[in-house]
Amino acid sequence: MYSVFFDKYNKKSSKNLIHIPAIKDIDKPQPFEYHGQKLRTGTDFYTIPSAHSLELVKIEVVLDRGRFQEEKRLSSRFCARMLKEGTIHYNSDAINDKFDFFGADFQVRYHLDYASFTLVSLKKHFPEVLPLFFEIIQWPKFDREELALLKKRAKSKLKLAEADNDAMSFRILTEKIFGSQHAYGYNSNYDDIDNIEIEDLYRYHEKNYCAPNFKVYLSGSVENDIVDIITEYLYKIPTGSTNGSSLKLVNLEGETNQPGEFFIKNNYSFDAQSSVKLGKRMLKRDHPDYIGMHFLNTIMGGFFGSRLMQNIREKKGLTYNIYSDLEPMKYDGYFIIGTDIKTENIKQVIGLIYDEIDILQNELIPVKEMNTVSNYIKGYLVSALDGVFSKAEIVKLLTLENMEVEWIYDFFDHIDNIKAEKVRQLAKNYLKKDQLFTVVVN
Amino acid sequence: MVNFKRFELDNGLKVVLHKDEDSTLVAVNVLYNIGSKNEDPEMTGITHLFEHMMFTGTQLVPDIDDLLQNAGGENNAFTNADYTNYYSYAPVNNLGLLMAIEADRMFQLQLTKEKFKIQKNVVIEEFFETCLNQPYGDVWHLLSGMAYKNHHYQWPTIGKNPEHIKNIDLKDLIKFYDYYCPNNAILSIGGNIDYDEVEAEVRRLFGAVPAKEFSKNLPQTEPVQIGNRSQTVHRNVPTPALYIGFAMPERSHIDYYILDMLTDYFAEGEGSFLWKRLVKKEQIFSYIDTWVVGSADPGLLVIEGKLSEGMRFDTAIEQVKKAVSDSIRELSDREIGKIKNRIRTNLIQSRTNILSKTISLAFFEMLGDIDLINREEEIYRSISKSDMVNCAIKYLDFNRCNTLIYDVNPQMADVSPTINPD
Repeated sequence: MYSVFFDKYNKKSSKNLIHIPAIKDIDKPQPFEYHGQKLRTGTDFYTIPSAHSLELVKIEVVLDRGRFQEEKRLSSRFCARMLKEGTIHYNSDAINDKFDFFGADFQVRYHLDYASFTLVSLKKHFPEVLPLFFEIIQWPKFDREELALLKKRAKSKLKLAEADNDAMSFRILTEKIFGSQHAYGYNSNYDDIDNIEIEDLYRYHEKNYCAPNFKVYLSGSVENDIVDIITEYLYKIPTGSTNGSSLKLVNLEGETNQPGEFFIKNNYSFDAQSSVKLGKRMLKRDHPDYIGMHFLNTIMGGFFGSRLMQNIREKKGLTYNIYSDLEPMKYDGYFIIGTDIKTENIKQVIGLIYDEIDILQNELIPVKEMNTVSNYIKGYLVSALDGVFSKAEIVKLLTLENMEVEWIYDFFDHIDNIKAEKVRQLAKNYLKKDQLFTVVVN
Repeated sequence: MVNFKRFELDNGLKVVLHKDEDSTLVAVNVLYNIGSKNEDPEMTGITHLFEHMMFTGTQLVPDIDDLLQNAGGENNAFTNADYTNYYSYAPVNNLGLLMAIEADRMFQLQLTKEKFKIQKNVVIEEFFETCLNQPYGDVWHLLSGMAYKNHHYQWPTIGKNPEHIKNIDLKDLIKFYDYYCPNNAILSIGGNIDYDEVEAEVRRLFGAVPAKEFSKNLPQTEPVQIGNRSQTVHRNVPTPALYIGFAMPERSHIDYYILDMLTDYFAEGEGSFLWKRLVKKEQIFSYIDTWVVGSADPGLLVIEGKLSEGMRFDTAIEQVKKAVSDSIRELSDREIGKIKNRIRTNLIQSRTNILSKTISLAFFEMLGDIDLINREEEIYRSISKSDMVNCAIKYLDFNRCNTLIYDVNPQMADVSPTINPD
């Protein structure tokens, strides 16, 4: 059908020097090689080898524990962050020095659901840096002075975030959606930072950093010798006293807020422009409606051709950027719409966003648009699987949410089977306006 | 090693092809040799505004984005002081489509009043979002204005002010389209491609696009800076900040690489000299960074710091000077080895991404030395301690620098222009 569609364009052209070829179908990506095993200590260990030698090896060790296991606010983040400031054998300078010496890139990242430790190194130096990498995760020595310094820097970062309309509106929206006491809702404040003590870090580490809570992803130039060495290290991680089945979740419920509009003044910002965010709780990736919702979100604001972008930016010029996003997490999820606009246009733009929701709830999406979105999503999947490190990222993303890696191929097949009626029904079910929180910061 | 094949068409289009057997995607990149440095000082921002117009369609392809999304692809573009760059990627079987889209909009872009009006608004919103409504958003306006007195790097790509963008009209854009022609462009294509097949297709498609005549505003050369320049502004920002800019050579100069290594030594990561000294030990700053602007004409080396609470600017500046001079004295071969190892890892990592390789190939071709893409590692490796010390002494001259003091004034933004003449 596309060749017909674009032949029309070719006929319209006065100069037939350039011919626009018909679009070719997007092939489903070939299954890629990966191996997963559960070690007898409970650690999940995945390897994703590259097709050709790459010179690089990447290991990502993920602690599958986060805010929900906190006894004190911020303890998961500060524990992860403080690990690289000292071990029983190395202080923070010595740690940096060793990784730098071998040109290895070591990163700690924290997420609400987990903490992640990544090491990328040339293959030949990998065995040199691995011992320190595992020592950091396993054998910390938390130092009071380092913690004081980190707290000071965390406060100055917080101050910067508070000056930023976009960051502020995001903080307020998620707090409204989940509640200020909920693990996904609370925002760190200066008191939380002040209250973190060395003892909290040791307690969090001892309870959570044990073998059954780790998921490990090894990718790049992966050969048997490296797999063996890493397996050996993984077996040295203590199994601990807790395991997945007896996991106690804290901070799951908090006070709930009534949806509504919230206008907040930012003391630092100039009020010519405002950040606007709308959002609500949303389903997780393992829900049967997830793929349909992904489709709906993509149409609404998930790519440049989306309705929000086309109608509010490309047709009306009211913003530089507008998006919607679906954020599935481990225990819950949310949906968000965000944009920065002239303060005088707030009412108009919020009205236009509501109009788009109305249209999705009441009108069927035209066939041509259904096709565009489905092709866009398929192309996006192909690019998300290009290269060994991207593949490793997909394996991580899915297994952390306890999903099968094969889900990604099902996704590809399901996309073509989504019907416009279904999308309209999902818009009715999941985008109820009286459930939306609206936050405006300027 | 990045393999490539180069050729030039009769109409002046330079072409670079790159084969990567591991990728399932194909990337197409078109670099136009026109940047904000070529602008009229009274009509700044037009280069970037025009970039937006390149997505508004042709008669043949009224909606470029829609067509590309149907092919499972993505596209985007960026503009800087030196050039304007368009890229797209899609599953490899749609390469023909990606190429046709680029040839078509190089040849017969449709510039309409309606779409122009919309994109003008979008760009003004972008100006507000990224510069005017953002704490520290005008730093580059202030710093480049101070560091460049003749050269057009003195204004940022977004433009001097939103009024310039408001005042541009359609006939200015139509004239500007003269820069969009094969004799002012570089095409690079990367993916699992067959060189001969793709070359034939490039010759067929792009060979049909006629060359154009145009006259380009060439920026004046910047005279050597004599003496210090400084400016203090008061803004409603959460933390006072300090920026110091030093003149340095262009991207293809050997000293660029040496200074790049020096800035890594100063502030790349928490094991770096300035970070350890000024953030961790002395706690003068809560954040510090140093970086080089790798521009086609002589660039800037910048030291940027956010001051710790209660810290005075004069103390902070003195401590930066002292730390820089100590760091040069204490520079060891071991430290240099660390920087080189890290650069090597980064270079290898950047070569794993098809899009980044394709964009880089066009960039090095623009610089006039495409082999640099494979020679950079060797260049870094050959740099010695004395090279670094000599460059530090030569370029990091605190008696010839540009200091921007960004002070806190909760009352409101009042600018106090205290530019000291040379």
